Amino acid sequence: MKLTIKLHKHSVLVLAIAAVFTIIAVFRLQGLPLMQFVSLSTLVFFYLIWALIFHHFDKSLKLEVMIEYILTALLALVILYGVLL
Amino acid sequence: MDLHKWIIPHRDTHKRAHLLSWRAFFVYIIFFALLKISFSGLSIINPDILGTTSNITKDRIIELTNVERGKLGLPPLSGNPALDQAATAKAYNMFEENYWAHFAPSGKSPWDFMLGSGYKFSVAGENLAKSFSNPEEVVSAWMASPTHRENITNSKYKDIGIAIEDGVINGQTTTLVVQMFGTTSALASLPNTRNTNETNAKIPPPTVIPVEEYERKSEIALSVPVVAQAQISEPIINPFQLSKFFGIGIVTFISALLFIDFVILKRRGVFSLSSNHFAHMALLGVAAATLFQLESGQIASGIAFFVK
Repeated sequence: MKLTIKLHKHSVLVLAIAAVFTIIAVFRLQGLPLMQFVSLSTLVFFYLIWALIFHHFDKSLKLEVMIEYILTALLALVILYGVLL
Repeated sequence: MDLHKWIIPHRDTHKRAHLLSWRAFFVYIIFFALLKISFSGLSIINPDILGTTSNITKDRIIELTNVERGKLGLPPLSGNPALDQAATAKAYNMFEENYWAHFAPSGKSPWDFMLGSGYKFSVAGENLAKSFSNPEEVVSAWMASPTHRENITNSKYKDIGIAIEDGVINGQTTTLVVQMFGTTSALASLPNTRNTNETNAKIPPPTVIPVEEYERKSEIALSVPVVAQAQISEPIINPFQLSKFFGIGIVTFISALLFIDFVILKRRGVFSLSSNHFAHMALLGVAAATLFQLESGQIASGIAFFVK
């Protein structure tokens, strides 16, 4: 149980670090919307890969779980594309 | 109809609120896609409806540029009418040929406009920006970009020319800012012309053309007629601000629902670490942070030019 909690915490930490790096990149690339969108798309891609790996090791990988991730990713991309480009 | 089911997780099954279901996400996506399509359609039917309003002035851009130079102990740049004319010609050319770049589809370069206005430079550079609403944002965005900062803080430049013009590019009304730099000083007095900022390794080497070609370009310098643009009315819809408003609204709304979901499940003692709350909130948090800091303006990479 302790090991599982540790695994979860570390996984969330990895995603949080990726998110922080992306925010820094977005701030540094102010005025360059295409580059900002590329940075955010990279995070979205990482988020999906992360979800696959995380739920695989957690033994909770199901189609409906992945659909939820894909739709969240798609929503983030559609909103950012609409505003940035 | 049970209204709370839309906002909080199910009492017995602990299933997510309806507004967090995949169907709801699908609706949000469709809504945004339709918003983008509507703007594209409107820009074709009536481009004057869409656009941005700006209060950028030439004097303020020069003032802010000189403030940035002053911070580094560099002398201020003087406004040059020939460079102003070149910048204006460049702006109108971008509207005419429908592009936003340093080089026109027809092959015209910034240097052609400078030479065309009679400005025989030995060193020159150009910065571009579009769709900004105030001069502080423009200069701040330029200073955040290495190539633009390189132009603004180049000790070789003595003159500056600015054009701020409203027009239509790619079917959308926008405000273009063209900033041109240069010096007409003799090359002999500029021994370090090519070395402008060695500390910044990211700056690409400047374009260099032989003197003969430079002379030839001077002789056949392009004279771009400044054609009066059609009167541009105040835009009714600012697509950027509207998309930003709805984007922040939806992202904040979903994040709040996820947080409520997390708190309620935790209180009920059924929260699982396998749930996707944190991952979704991290992604949406980045999206929200991006939207909050976003300004409407864009800059193209700055360029400099030296005559060998």
